[in-house]
Amino acid sequence: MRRFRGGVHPPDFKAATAHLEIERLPLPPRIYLPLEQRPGAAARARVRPGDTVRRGQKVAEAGSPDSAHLHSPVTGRVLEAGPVLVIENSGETETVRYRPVKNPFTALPETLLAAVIEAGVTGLSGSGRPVQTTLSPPKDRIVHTLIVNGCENEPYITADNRLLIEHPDKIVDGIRIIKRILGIHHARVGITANRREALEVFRHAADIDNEISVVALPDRYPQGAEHLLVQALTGTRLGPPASPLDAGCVVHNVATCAAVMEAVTLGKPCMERIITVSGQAIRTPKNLLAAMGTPLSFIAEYCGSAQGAVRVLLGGPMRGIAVTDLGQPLLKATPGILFLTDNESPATMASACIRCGACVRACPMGLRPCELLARTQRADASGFRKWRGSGCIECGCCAYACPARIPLVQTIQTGKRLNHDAV
Amino acid sequence: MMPSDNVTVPGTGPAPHIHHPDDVPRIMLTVLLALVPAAALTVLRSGLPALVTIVIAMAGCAGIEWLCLKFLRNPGSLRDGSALVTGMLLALLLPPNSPVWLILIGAGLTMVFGKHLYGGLGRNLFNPALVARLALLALFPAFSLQNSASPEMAAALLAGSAWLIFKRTIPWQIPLSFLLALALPALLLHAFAPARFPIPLYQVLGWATLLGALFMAAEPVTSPVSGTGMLIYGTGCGLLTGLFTLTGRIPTGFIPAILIMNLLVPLIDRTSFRERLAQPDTPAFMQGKPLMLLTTAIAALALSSLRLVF
Repeated sequence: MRRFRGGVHPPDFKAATAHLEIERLPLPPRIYLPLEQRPGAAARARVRPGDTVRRGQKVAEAGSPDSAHLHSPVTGRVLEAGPVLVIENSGETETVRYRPVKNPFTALPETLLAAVIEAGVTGLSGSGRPVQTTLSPPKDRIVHTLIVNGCENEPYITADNRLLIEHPDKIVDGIRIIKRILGIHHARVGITANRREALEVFRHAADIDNEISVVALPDRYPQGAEHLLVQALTGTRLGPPASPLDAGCVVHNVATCAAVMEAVTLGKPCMERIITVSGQAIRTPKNLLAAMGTPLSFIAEYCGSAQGAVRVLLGGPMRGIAVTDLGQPLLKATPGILFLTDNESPATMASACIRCGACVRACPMGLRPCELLARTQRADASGFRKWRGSGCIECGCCAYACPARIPLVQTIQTGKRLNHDAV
Repeated sequence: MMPSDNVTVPGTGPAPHIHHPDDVPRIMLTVLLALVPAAALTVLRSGLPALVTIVIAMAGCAGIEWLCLKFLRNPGSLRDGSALVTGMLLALLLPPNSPVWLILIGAGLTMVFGKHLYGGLGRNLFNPALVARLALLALFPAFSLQNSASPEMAAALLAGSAWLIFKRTIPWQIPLSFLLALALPALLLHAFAPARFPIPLYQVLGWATLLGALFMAAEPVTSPVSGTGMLIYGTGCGLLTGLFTLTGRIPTGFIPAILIMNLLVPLIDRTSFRERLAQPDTPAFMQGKPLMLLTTAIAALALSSLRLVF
C-alpha cells in the first residue's frame, strides 16, 4: 500500500483513551440547542417556552434542504425557544415512540432516505453537513462506490476507533443502508493499519456483506481527508475544487454510518454522539456517549475537571477550534474535546519565512504554501491562482511543519477569499 | 500583514495547535552543532588564532545584526541564531590567523550587504557568508584560503552533513547533486586526459569546496524550496564549481558558482512547480532514513574512491 506523498506524522497521544470503553454521559440539567446551522439556513423552532417535550421529540424543523432537524435528548420543559433552544431536564426518562423502518434491507431507497432526514442525521466527522446532501447526488452524476473513513488520524481522538471495536455491526448495517439509498453495491472502508483490534473486529463484522472491503491504510495524517481517501481506495487522484463525486464516490465517516443505521433500524433521531475527552489537563480522560446540547463545562466536570489547560479544543489539534467559553454546548460535528497544557500546545510567535521548504514537503496536494503565503501578503489574487491555492484542503500539515510557526492555513484561507472577491 | 504581528495568545489562535518540534532557533543550533567537528579540527590544527577567529566572527555577526535590527527595522530577532551560523561559516572560510579588523569587516559585509539590506532573514538573495568572502577576496587578496584536500576535514564535514540530513534539517538533494556534478565530470576528464587533468581534482575536492557543497549551498533561504528545484540547483552549483576551479585561478571556485546559482533560484522555483494532487509516494523502502543513509554513503564512497584512484 503506497502512502501518499507529503503529510505529517505528529505523535499519536491516543494511549490515554484508546482502550477505554465508551461510557454514557449522564444528561445535564439543561440542554442548549442553537438553531443556527452551518451550512444551511437556521432551523425553525417548533416549540414555545413553557412547552413540555419528551426525549427524541423534534423541536426544530430544518430551515432549508441543506439544514437538519433538531431533536431534544432530554424530557422536560422548554425555557427558551430561540436563537438557542434551552430545555430543562426534568429527570424523567419518557421517550417519544420511535418509528423504525421495517425490513430496511428491502425497503425502498426513498423510504430509507426519508427516515434519515427525519432523524436529523448530519456528517459526524466534522463537516456537519446534513447527510441528505450527499445521499441524494444530482441526477447527472454517477456514483459507484461508497468510501468510509475509519482512519481517525487526528491525535488524541479515539471516538471512531472505539465505535469500530464496540459497535461494528452498527457501522456495517449503516453502510448497507447507505448503499441501498444510493443504489450502489461497492463500499470500501479505510482503517489505519496500526489499529489492529479495530481492523480485526470490523473485518469480522463486515464479512456478512462481501461487497464491503476493508483496507488497512498507512498511519499518516491526513490519510482520512476525503481526497486522499479516494486516492488510496480507488486510485483516482483529485483535489479541490474537484470533489469525490467527480470520481463517482461518496465519502462518509464511520460514526455517520452508525447514525444512519440507528435512524433507520431503530427510528432513533440523531441527538447524541461519541466523543473523546482528553489532554493532559483533564483529570480523567474518557470516551463518552454524550447528548448534543450538553454544556462543555458539564462534560469537563464529569471527567474530573481541568487543571492548567492553556487551550481547550473542539476536535483534534490539527484542525480543531480553540474555545474559551465552556458554557457553550456540544454540537453534532464535534468528535472530541481536548484540554491541553502549555507542554502539549505551547504559545507560538510567528517569524519570517526562511524558505526552508518544509511546508512544500508536507503538503499532500503538492502545493507550495510558502508561495501562497507570499501571494496573500501582497494581496495578489492572480498569483494565488497561479500557484493553485484553490487546491488546498486546509489539513494543517504545512503549518504543523513550519519552523517559523507561520499560521499558513489561516493565511491560505484569506487568500482563497481574496480570490472570491477578485472574481 | 507581517508574520510577526500574529502573536498567538494562549487560549485562542488558529489551528493547528501543535507543531513539529523543530523551530528556527533549533534548526540553527543543529547546523552549528554539525559544524563543530570541522571547527574543532581547524582549532586543533591552527591553534588559538583559529578559535579567536571563530569567536570574533560569531560575536561580530551577532553584534552587527543587532545594530541592523535596531536601525533598519527588519523583522526578526537575534534569538533565531542565524547570525551565529553565518559567523561560524565566515570564520571557516577565512585564514585562521586573520586579523581582527578583517574578520569584523567580513561580519559587517555579511549582515549588511548579505542580509539586512535585502530585508532581513528570509529575504536575502545571496548566501551572506559567500558575499562577504568574495568581497574580501576582491578587496584584500592577500588573505586567501588554502583549499587543500584534507581527508580529516572531509570526514568531519561529511559526518556533520550526514547527521543534518539524517535529522531532516537540510534536504539530501543539494549535497548529493552538488557532489555528483562535481565528482563525475572530474572523473571523466581525468579518465580521458590524465596528463591534462591531474592536480585540479584535488582542488575541486578541497575541504573548502566540501564546506560549500554541504553547508553553504544547502542554506534554506537562498536555495529552492522543492526537491526538483534543489536537484537542478545542486547540479548547477557542482558544474559551475568544476568549471571555475579548472579554468580559473582561484582554488575556491565554489564561491562564485554558488552565488550565480543563488541568482537563478527564483527562476528555478517558478519553473519547477508541477501540481501533484494526492500523488503516491516513492516506494516504501526508498523513504525516510534508509534513503538518507544510502545517499550519504554513496557520496562518501564516491569521494573516498577518488582518493584511491590516485
